Amino acid sequence: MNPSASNPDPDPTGTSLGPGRGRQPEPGPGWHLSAGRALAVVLLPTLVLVAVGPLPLLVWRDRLPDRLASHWSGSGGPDGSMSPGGLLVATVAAIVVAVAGLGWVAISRRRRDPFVYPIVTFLVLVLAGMVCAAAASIVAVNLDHADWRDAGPLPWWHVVLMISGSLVLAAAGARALPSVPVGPAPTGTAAATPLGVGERAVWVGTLTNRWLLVPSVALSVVGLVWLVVGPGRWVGLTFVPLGLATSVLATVRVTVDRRGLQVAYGPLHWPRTRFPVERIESADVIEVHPTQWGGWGYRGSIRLMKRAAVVLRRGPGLHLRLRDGSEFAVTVDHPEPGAELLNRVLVAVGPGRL
Amino acid sequence: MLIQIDTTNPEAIYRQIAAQVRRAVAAGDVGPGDKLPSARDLAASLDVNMHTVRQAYAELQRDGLVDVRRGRGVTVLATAPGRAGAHDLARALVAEARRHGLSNSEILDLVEEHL
Repeated sequence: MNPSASNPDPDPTGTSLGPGRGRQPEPGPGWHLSAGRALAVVLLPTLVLVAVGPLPLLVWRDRLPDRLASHWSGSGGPDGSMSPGGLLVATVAAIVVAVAGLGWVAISRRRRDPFVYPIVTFLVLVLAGMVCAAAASIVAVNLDHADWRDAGPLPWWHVVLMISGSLVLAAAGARALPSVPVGPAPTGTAAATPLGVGERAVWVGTLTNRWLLVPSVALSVVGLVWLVVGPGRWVGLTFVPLGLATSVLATVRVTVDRRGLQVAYGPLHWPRTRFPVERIESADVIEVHPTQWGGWGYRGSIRLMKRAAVVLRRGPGLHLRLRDGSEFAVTVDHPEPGAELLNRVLVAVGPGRL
Repeated sequence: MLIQIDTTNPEAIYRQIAAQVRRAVAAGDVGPGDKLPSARDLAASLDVNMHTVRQAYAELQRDGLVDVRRGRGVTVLATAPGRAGAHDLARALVAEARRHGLSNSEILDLVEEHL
């Protein structure tokens, strides 16, 4: 069923960032990374960070001015500077933080919420990646100028590269960690009776958590007030969309029908996430504990962590096992008929599924 | 809320849908203030014509079970009190009969006696 699980590990020494997704680690509490993989998880991103951050500073220090343009005004030219030594210290400090975080992830016995490890990995790599990429950009802009005031404007594509590069590095780092299987064993679809000829069915479940509307309203109000009276607009421009975004996760509607499962978020039932039947292996009902899934809201990522959940409260939820080995859960009231219907649909699609 | 229809059943599909919504309301799956899926969404899920679902919702509106407003969707108004009451009594009957060791078929016989 899961093609990648049966393949021999192409990289038994664990010295590459690539594989690891789809490989099932030993289940149960307290497993840990092999020495080779642990080393790779720390060393490879660190090498990338050193190559991007401190290395160009040291290599080209003779071609840089005494002070470096390091801050740009909105109109284009540089309006702030720092010493090359200061920038070097900043990059080294960021790398030290990253190494500490990655090291903790690498040597930790995995007894905590499995979400913690990819999240820590992602966060420290985004942070250090941004600092080092900014340093590289500063070096490039200041190169061969006698004075920092002569440096040109910061090209927009530097900013794009900074953000996308650090996100890619962080995602690769988080992906390199093996995922932890949790939850009950698949119940399978064998027991379900398929829908009869001419039978059509749909199940709709909803769940609203009014408490989750509180931060949403609070954020929006603070944002709006700030827009009117506060200094600068950025706080308001950030808080209002954030408030609207949290309202989207205060209520969900889950639909199961012949096409699969659909989750519609928010009072407008938009956006929507769809899981077509072809992607689904089986459905069951689980008790969702926010601590197991990393909190409330949309937790995790199917693509990056092979696990995701929409958590609005503690309690029953509809749980999917997907054909690629990942899993998805959504909290919803009385999910049993939904899981049953989905399994019946899966049986009906049956033999032609592969 | 589970809505199940059978296209081979001679009963009109809109009547089947309406009956299923009534059952869901009576069973407490949906309550006053709850929004039902839009006619478009439900029709797509069941692979039937949107007007069939509209017809079902119109019938439920005539019965005073739901409120259909353009742009506001379909809202459940009230649990039909009689039906919900009967449902509760049936649940109580089953619980009481089980407590006294009656089997499922004995409970059904008991109900049949009073029909």
